Amino acid sequence: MTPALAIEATALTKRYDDATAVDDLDLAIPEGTVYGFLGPNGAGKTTTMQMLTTLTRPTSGTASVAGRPIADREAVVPHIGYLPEEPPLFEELTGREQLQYVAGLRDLPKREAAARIDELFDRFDLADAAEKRIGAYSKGMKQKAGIIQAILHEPEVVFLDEPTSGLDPRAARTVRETIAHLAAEETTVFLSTHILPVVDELADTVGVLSNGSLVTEGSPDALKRRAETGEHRTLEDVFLEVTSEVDYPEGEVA
Amino acid sequence: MSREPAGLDGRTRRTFPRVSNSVRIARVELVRQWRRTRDQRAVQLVALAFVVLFLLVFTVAAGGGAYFAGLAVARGRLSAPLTGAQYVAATAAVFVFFVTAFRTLSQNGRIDHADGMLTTVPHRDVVGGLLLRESAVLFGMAGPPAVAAAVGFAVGSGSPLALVLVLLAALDVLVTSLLAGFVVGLAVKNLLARSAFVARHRVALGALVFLTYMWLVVSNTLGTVVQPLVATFRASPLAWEADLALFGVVGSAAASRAVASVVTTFVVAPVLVALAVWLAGLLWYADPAEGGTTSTRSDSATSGLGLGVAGAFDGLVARPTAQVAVKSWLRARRAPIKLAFVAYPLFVLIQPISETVQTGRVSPVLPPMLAFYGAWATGAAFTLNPLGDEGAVLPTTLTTGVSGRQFVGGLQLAGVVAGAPATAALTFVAALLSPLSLVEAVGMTVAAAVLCVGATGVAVGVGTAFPRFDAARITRSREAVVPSLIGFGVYSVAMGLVGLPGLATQVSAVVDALARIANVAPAAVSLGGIVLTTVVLGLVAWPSVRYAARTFERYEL
Repeated sequence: MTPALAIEATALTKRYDDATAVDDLDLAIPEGTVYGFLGPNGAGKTTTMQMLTTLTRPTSGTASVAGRPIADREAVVPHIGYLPEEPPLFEELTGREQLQYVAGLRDLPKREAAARIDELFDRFDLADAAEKRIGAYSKGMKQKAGIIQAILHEPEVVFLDEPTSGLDPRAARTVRETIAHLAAEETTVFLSTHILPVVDELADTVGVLSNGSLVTEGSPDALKRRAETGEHRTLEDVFLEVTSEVDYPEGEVA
Repeated sequence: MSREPAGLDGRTRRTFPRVSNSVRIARVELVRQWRRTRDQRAVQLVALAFVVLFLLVFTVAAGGGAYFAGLAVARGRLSAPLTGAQYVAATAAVFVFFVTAFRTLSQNGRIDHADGMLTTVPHRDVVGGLLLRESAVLFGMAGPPAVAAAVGFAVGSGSPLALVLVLLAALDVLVTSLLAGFVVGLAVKNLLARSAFVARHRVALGALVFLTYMWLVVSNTLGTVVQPLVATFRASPLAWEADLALFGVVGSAAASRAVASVVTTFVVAPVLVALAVWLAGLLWYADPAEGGTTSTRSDSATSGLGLGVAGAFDGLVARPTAQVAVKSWLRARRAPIKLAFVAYPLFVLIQPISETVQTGRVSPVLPPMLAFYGAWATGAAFTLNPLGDEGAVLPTTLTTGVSGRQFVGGLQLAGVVAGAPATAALTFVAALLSPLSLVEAVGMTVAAAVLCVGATGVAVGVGTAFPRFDAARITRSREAVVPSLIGFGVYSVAMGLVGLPGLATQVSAVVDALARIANVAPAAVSLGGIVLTTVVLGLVAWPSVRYAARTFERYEL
């Protein structure tokens, strides 16, 4: 029996005026997968994530996340966590206040939420900064707080937009371990990043988006194997090759 | 880059800005400013059009005034033309000096992307660029009236030479006072940046300065502060500019003083530029004083308080609603600058407060004004930009599953719990001290509380319809997301229309007139006004809240 799909998209398309951000995108991502979503700047990765997280309505096409249609925000959002490229945090609040705020919005049981916040602060080495204002956090600390916020409610599908960018090696490792940990717990992780070693290490499946279309998809190993020659390539070679012939028209939207 | 040597130590090559770079910087800054203005919504362009219109009127007035002054001078009908010209020069100088000092202090004493600029050109070139930009703005505003005045005076007095001399004198006055204002602005900025005490108590000190200023205005004593300044300017070499402007037209204008005025500008201006370069170097390379904006101290105590406050709503409202309210309070308390815009319309209170101060009696218009302003502020504080206020957090807020009603209700709660009691209390006390009767006082207090609640409802819908997401520069180069100008306007007009019957019918004169016309008891008129406002408020606020909640739930990025 094939496992159920965590993310399923059919002919997903998003157009802005005359620019096409995402063009006829099909996705079928099984539960528990770590999906590495690659693509050059402006390829449409963020737009895809915003559609899948119900934040942007597609121009045409359909998709469902955790079995719920993305047109139904109320049904989808309890099951997803989203970390946009800019961590969604209030600089004036402390880390703990921020997480309590979001836990309150989600109406998570108080005691359990408090315990989970403590546990996540410990795991991400942020316990000392819990009572400090986010405005005083370093970039890495903000990124970690954003990840905690995205996984606080133990969602089934987590969307992470560049979660390791700007992190020092230790913080980046914590994030990688967290993704591995989530995958081990059968959480589906939709991971958009430019940092290819992260994808190489963690992803079960890699999809490369270029100019709004999926140009290649497969496991990292399969992509790296070149069938004709047997020559071994890096993921970087694959990325450069499949995205090389693309001309970007002006006004392309990310 | 190492700190530049400054001061007039003979190395003038290293003291003064390079003209080419300064021009380049000023040009880019002006282009950016123009494009920002052009890209704004229509309302900002309308505001700009008003400025241009005002400028035109002022130019015509300056030209006409100067023409008649020239006519009068030429016919010997002015008793002390030199003194008059000195007053004109001194007033213009004081005005330009203060405006420039304030602009420098609040935002123009720095450049955007300072790190990049200061690692590209010497900081003196940046100073030169900022000064040229200020000059361009100043000459754009003051140039046309000055030219019109020069032409008018030359024609009126029949002296072609006056055209050149008046322009030269105006140039002297503007340049000197602009440079002096820039230097003083930078000096004060240095004090602020270096004093830990000031950094820590900035908000309180700012409020003190503001209140002092307001007090000078309402108690009508601002003039007594400005007059000595004008007198000082008149006693300075600046007064010689009058001799320059009137030379050849007025017999008492001395050639020696006219020449001295030009020489003085040529001596003073470079000194002021050097001072500005030196002060800017101190400021831009200074370590910020402790206790500034990015507090690193622990907030556990306040966080505990926040939770305590959230607990106060337990069982009364849903938890997400309470959380939204508490979050709004915490953010406002930690960054009060976000609410600074609420103080903008305080000027409507100047007249009644000033009357109260000067007569020692509370004016009967003060209580309704307080009620109205309090309600306006209650609605504006947390509810006038519900979506934009969330900033980068908006994607998370939208995907937490919090309902639109809960989100909007939380914002309303934040405003009402803080604003309604304060507004009602202030209104009641003012009404008791005023000639209004007790019944009127109670009626107005009720109206104030109702208005506060309704205001948040009106505001939340208007703010949702006209959101603003980009940060606006408020002051001291601080940025915050404030409501859009259209939102401000629509909300204020709506509140004015809705609140009018309830507040107007609390004033005896209005009540008596209406009672006579309708042939009913005055109390019935007062009550009717409150009922009418309440009903209309409900009719406006209810759909407004529903619209805001629905829009939030369906909102797309």
